Amino acid sequence: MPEEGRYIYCIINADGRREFGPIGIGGHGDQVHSVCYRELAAVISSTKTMKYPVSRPNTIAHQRVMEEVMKDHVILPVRFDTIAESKKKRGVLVETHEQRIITQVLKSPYREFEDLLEEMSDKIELGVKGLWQDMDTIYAEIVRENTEVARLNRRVKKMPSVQSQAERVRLGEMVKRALDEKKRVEESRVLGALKGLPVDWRQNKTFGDRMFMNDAFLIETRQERGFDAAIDELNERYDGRMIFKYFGPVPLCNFVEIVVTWED
Amino acid sequence: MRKRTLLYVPAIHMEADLGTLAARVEQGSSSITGEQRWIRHKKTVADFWDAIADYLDSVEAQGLKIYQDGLVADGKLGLKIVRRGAETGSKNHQIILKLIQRGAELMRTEDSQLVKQEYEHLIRLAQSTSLLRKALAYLQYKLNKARLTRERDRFIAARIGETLAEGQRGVLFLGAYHNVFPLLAKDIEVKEVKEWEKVSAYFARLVRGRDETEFDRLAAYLASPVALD
Repeated sequence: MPEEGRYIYCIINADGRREFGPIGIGGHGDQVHSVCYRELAAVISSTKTMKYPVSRPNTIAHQRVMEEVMKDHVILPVRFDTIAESKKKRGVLVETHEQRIITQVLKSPYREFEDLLEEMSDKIELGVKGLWQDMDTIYAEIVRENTEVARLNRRVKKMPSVQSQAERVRLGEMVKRALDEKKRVEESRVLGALKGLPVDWRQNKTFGDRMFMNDAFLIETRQERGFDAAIDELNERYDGRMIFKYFGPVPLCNFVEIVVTWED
Repeated sequence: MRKRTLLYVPAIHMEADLGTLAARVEQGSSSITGEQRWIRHKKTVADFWDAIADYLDSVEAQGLKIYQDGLVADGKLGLKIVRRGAETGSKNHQIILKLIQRGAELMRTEDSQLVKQEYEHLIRLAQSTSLLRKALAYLQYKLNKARLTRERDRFIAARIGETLAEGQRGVLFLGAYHNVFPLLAKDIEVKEVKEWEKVSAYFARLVRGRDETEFDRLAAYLASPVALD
């Protein structure tokens, strides 16, 4: 039977115990609260010491806790599935979960945590997904812009489908390469339009053919309106061709991820 | 039972020991301590190694076992690492090479996985371009440093315990931020070539930049000839 541990979600500034509700990961209504060391705290909940698979319910639960904490605090996200176990020697408890979190996580880099929280206090993370609206137009452009694709496309069309299987596969590969390149070009164009607004940005994996960008931006809060306006302008400028899905503020997971490796 | 003896040298890294990280460490350290203080520190370190070299020249090297900070190999590979370090100007490695030539034996001292982890943190820190990424890399390094150092110390102490036989002598070159003494087997007598506590105190003052008189006294101690019998 797995022992009990403490799941850690994020690090915040707090000088006393804070309660965030029965929203802990695992779906058992575990209370989420803080464990403090001086003015620093880890946000935790009770859990079994097991490995949480990266499933949608688990990642959403992790994210949801951070979003709840974010309502009142600047947060530094801790890597998904970070669990503190108590420390025993020959069956005798020598360090509780909370003591372990304090000694191994909060205490040593105390000043660095404080500095980073201060650094992040005026920043937010926003996400932008860019999607093409009409893929027929995009594929037509690929054929028009790429003579080899156009030539092979014409040839394949003339051949009976049974005989053209190999060519079709080759054509598919060529189109995929051209599409990836097109995504890169479109993304660069968008990033160019946003230049100077974010402090930092991260490129995430895109999903499906339509999505040409899936990026996270770290923005100073004073730039938020400017960033909103820039996205609105992009939506107007590329109306009919692209659409931008814009979301946030979200936990700063693309820019900060605290990784804890426990000492035996 | 014949006792086991271990000479302890608190290794202080020089530019030549840091390889590709040297330029960035130099830049970063100089900005923390101030340029003048850093220049003075480099002279102190050079004098420190001269004093260590003079002392170890007088030690019987035949049968001496050498344990070295960060050394994850012995035999030919270990010797190659030491030779390369000596060629690039590391006084620490030059001293070791001389001891080997006089009959000492190079020992694998560290666990490669732990050293790799430490090195990767330093690389990330050195390669971080923005202030934010640097701050995060430093936090991550600090978060892991205590654990990594303790794990390395445990490994080193166990390694010495297993390989230094009864009646044998060894020399351990290890950074002053380590603390292996409490972890060593009780029958190993440690002789500090330079006192660990004074070297640690010197570094604390080098970084903090206060108490000039004490800093001068400690710097003079580091640079002075070894007063061990």
